[in-house]
Amino acid sequence: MKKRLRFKLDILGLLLPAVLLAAWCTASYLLRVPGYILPGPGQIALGLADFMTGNSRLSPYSGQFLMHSAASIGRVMEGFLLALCFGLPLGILTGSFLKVKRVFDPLVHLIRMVPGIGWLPIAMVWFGVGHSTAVFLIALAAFFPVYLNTAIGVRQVPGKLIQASRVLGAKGWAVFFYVIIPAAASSILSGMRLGLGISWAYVVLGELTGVSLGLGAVMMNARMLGDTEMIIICMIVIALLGWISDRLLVALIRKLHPGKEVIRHE
Amino acid sequence: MNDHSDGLLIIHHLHKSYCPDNRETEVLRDVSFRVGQGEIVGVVGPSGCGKSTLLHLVAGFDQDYRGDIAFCGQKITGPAPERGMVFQSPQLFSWLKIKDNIAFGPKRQHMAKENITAQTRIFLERVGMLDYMDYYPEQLSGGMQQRVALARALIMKPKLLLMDEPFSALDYQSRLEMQGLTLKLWEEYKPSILLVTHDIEEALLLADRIIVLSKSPGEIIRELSVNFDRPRDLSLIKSLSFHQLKSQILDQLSVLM
Repeated sequence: MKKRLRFKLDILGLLLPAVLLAAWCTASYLLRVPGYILPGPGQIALGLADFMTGNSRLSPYSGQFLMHSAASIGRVMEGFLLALCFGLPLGILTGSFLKVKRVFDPLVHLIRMVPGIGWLPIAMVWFGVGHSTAVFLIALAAFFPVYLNTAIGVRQVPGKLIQASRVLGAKGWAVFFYVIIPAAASSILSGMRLGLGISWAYVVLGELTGVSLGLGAVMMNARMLGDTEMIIICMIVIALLGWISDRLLVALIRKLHPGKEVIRHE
Repeated sequence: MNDHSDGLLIIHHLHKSYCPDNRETEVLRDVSFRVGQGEIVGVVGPSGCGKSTLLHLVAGFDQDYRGDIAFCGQKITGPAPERGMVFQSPQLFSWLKIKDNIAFGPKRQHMAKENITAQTRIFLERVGMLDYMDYYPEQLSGGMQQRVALARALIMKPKLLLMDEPFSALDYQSRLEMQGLTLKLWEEYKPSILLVTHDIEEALLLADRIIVLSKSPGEIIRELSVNFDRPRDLSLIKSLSFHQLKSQILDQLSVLM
């Protein structure tokens, strides 16, 4: 029963992309929208294959997929891990102790009001253009969802559940590790997934200036060369990489913590 | 006061107030009673009479009170497995399988692994949940979850079991089953039980003594002995003497409350 239902949902999920693809084909092949505005699906597919394998045509980006992707993935991981290093412990502290919340929360919410892109100029002053700025922007932007969701998750662990563990002999750190963290896991995971998604958005922003490697750099470069096709190819690659990294994160957390809560979150 | 032969739990002139917004609200007023070894004491009273507060104080969640609470002759300084608790809602750990919920306490005591597994099996079997050991709590009905909660508390071999309206959220059938199970397990392990309930019938069925608290602030307005023979089982509810005592008490309570 369940399997059939899932299969049905998959078909429904493919419906909209199919409609979109049809509209794209119509625009490119029937309405003849020029390639420099919107390249056709076939052209994109060929370009993507060339970007990955690099032997179907002459282009400055032929076969450079791995190089640029690796650069972007590296920055995303660096920035995201930094966001976790600060966001998880601070979120846990804020969620656990009202005093810490009163110290940190006003400042965090104030800083949060500055959009990530608003940090670009000052980041360029501090870190120069390039790699460090990109990592800083990612870490900063991903910090907030990680911190906020962790704090909320920890705060919302029912007091009765903690009491139940204490009458069973759990004390101090044991309450924390065996009750609070698992009970908040679902919310913490949501924060991490949001943070990772935002990391992919900000890696592009960070790579728009000052770096030669990375998908954002390719996009900016391609725009200057009037290579619309390459811009769209990079967008597709970013979407796919973002999606894959999200799946990996969920799989990793499920492996570490095979509880019902995390699965239900799906 | 240190001799606890006549009282595992001795509560002496207990007063408890809360101060939300600096306005003091008295919850319990001059409550004194004892729970003997292996005795089941029921606490009944209208809602808001502080009966849950009383359990919290005995559990050790809150040390802010006046008067004395002595357990085994000692002041209570915090929660401990020797004073187990079953809550109104099961409070199972949703991320743990049923068997791991039951093993939670023994694991915190760092018992040997084989020992934990064996004990867990015994208690799963006692509450009739052996077939469900690999399920997660949310896959079970409320009654089944409460069985697990009972096993999880009893595996710690508590001297005193605190039960906070443990079956009030269940449907009639499950409630009866759980009451029967409680009687059966009590015969086996003989823990003292302090049972807070608003269900007179439940108190009569399970308890040796019933303490009636008044509306807030909670004061003891009556203490009754329930002298039905043990071992008891659910058939007691159908007996004439049970009905007589129940209506007698209800009459008294309607005057008092």
